[in-house]
Amino acid sequence: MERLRDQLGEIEARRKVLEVHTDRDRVAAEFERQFSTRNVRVVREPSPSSGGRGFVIVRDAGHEFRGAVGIDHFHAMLSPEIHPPWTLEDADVDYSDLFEFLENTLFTSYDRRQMLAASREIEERAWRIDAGTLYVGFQNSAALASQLSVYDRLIRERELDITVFVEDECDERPVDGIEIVSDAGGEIGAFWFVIYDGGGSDLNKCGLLAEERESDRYYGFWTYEPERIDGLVSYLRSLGGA
Amino acid sequence: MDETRLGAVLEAIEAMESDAAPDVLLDVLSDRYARYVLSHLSDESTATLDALADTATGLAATETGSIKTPEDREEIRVRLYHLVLPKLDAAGYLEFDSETRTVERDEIPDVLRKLLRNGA
Repeated sequence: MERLRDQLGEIEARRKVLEVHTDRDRVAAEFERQFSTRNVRVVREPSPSSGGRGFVIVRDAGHEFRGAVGIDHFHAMLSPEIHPPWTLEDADVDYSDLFEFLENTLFTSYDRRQMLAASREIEERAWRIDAGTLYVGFQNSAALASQLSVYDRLIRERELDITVFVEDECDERPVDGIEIVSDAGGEIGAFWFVIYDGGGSDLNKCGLLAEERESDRYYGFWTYEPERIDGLVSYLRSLGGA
Repeated sequence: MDETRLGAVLEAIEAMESDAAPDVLLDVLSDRYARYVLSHLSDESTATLDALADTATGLAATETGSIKTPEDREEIRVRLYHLVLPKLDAAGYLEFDSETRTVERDEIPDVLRKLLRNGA
């Protein structure tokens, strides 16, 4: 059974290249700050002058082209607006395309705001599909308290099961219907995760996993790979709960 | 290209007493992939078909505010190979070697460079 840190390690082993075509130093530096990891190499290429701020190409380890997006569009991803899951489909920018564009790409210094926006993307899918289970890890019960209103609404208005993991003791069940796994082991306190089992469909499986390596600096990835989600779900189920 | 911009382009061509044929210029300027190729060649004098396809796909993503997939890129690459590069070659702006799939910049008229720089 793979623990959370092993899952992160597996993604680290996959190399990706973000080729940043821009002639603006600040833009290039921002990409390096957010994505430069052992698994993501940020390469700077000159940009034809007509390209505005420029564009980004994602390549896999074999240097194959995986996608391209303009930096103006990409920027929405770096400073996201946070929308509750039930309004996300009305948002100005279609984040889901951007999320799929960057799946399995390690980010190196997301802050809380970016993490919340990414979490909402996963929750929105669960809200839309209206079936299945969400597994959510909070570093402690105070972090859980700040997000309870969202989960309260998800459980009241949708046919979803929600299992919440916290590292510390949490005896009471804060919202009817939410399963709490407290005292869930040493790893949980270092990770922020939102994993959705897809409600029976591989196509809808998705999840976010990140480790807080410094205060308010998260290191991790999100994925739409069914096998990876299955692995995470079976590990989390082994910790207890439903 | 909208009408105002077209007007500006025609004016620029006239004002510069360019020896480049206006119909060829307009044809090139109205083809976004031709513009992308020429933009790439304004920075580098030679390029591979693959590098041009990357740039054209990236610029198309930027201009349309969309995300381009490997399928989109392949379509653009085929378009460059069969349509855009032969056209630019015939206009004398570049030399395209379809065997080696490389391109060498030839004579790009000043008026065209200027218009491309201004985001025509």
